[in-house]
Amino acid sequence: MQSKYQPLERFVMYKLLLLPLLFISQLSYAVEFDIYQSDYKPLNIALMVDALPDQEKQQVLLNHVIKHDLESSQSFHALNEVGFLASPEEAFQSVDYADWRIIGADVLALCKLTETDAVWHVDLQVHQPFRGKELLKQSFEVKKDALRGLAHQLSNHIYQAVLNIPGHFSSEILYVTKHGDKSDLMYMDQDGYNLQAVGTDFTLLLSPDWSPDGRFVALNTYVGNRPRLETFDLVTGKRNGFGRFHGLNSTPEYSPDGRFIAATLSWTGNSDIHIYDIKSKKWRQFTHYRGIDTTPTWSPDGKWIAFASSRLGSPQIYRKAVAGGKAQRISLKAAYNTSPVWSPKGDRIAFITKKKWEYALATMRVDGTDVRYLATGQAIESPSWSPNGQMLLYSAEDRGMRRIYRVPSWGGKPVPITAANHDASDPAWSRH
Amino acid sequence: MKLNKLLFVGLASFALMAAGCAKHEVTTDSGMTKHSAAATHSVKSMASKPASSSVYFAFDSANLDAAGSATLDGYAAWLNDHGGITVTIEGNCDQRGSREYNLALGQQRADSVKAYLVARGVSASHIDTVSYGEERPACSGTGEACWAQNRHADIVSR
Repeated sequence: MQSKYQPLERFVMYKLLLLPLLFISQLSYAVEFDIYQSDYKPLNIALMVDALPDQEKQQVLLNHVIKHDLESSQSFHALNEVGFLASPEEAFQSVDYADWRIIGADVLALCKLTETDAVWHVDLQVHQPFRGKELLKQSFEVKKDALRGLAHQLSNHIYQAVLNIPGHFSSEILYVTKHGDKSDLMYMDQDGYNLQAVGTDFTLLLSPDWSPDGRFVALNTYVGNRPRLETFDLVTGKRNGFGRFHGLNSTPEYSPDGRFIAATLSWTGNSDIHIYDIKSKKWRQFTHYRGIDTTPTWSPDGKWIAFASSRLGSPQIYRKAVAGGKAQRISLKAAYNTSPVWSPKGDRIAFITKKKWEYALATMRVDGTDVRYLATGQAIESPSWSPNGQMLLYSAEDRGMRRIYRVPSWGGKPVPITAANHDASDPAWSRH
Repeated sequence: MKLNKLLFVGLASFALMAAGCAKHEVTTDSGMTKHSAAATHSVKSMASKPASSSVYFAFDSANLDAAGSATLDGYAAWLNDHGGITVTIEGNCDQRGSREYNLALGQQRADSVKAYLVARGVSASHIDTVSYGEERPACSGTGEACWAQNRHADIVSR
């Protein structure tokens, strides 16, 4: 396996160089589950944004967005600039690594913002003071109205330069909010900015899934008291029904190449996984089992589909080759395992598991071993991976209100990312 | 036992219908006595519509228990006597477990009721099924008393 996605391995590189850090681990109230805690400690980053005095607003924006992005990943801790021993001007002229080692900066990121008539120009440098090494020196230009987007790109570059993992800071999130009998499809940037309803007044709305190109959303809604599958065009707002059979039509999931949608249909007499060919508009039945097969998820290479099935009575997670063959059981522990979602890297599957009457979000290897419990919660549901596989979203109830949480897939603190007084469920993280 | 029950239901319904017929005898403006449409059917014994149209399930199960089967026996008899009626069976679940899995479980509950009715002679083409999973709870609280109410399939004729 490639090491570039392994936070534990990447930490080993820095382990001996780090000053002692206080890492306050999450207090866990789980009774049935031993919540997985990685020994990864966030890297201290000193971030400086230099700009002329009349660009203070833009300077603050860059500083705020980049700091928030990097800290939200729980891979970085931003140092307070009060302790910095050099001014931005001095640092840009020449970096004295000793100045940054003394305050414990594992990473130094310098941004210099300049303005021309048409564009914002940013020079970015990323250094590792303890190795005395410059990791990145690059310049960027964006149109005047795109500074926030550039800030996310800078976060991506800093993240990638230090951790050798692509950043997920330019990604987007969809979720569902319910009000009375109606549901809206909500959109926001991954940091919660730009929140808006993109589709309104659905009668029930479940299981939204992004098309790989980010243009469409496959979803399950009800029309005239019947469940159906639709695609929703995020550009035009147009809804298009593509699965309207007798009985159940649910849990649509795009294939990684965007050519197919796997879903649950029950017109054959029971719930099975079927595959829809978007181009030919034809369905083919993929699983044949007299009980329940549901919630398909594709492996990133498109060769496998994992799903939940009641083959053994209570739900367990299985996988079957798209080319055909027998379904193989994956989940080995616990009597109730549902909602599988394959990771973007392909080596793990996130799912929801139950012990006694407590539920948890967990991940496991694709052979069912190495189960890591990441979070527990009332009505914990709907895992969704960040495009780089480093974070997971899920929904859970907090004092009767459904909220969306984000937790590092390598073990960390669950953080709510939707408001406490706003119903939010069915998160879907964009694929890029 | 079952036969006796059916017989009783049949007799009771006959008595009810006879009583109903008397009430449906209306006097028209012209002063003539006219029978309502229902009266023409009252010559033979027919099963009455069962009082309950809901059956209940255990957690994560679509199996019918004895009470559920008894309800459905009565319903099958009524449907067989009223050949033209179409019904929709709505499957529901309590809010524990995965919502997406519960949609499939609600469908399985509806399908299991449908299969039972079909086995007792009801035409499959007159039965539609739909699952609402845990999306439309009858009781929105927590605790087994509430959850038990939510694990049901309803036979709805519209």
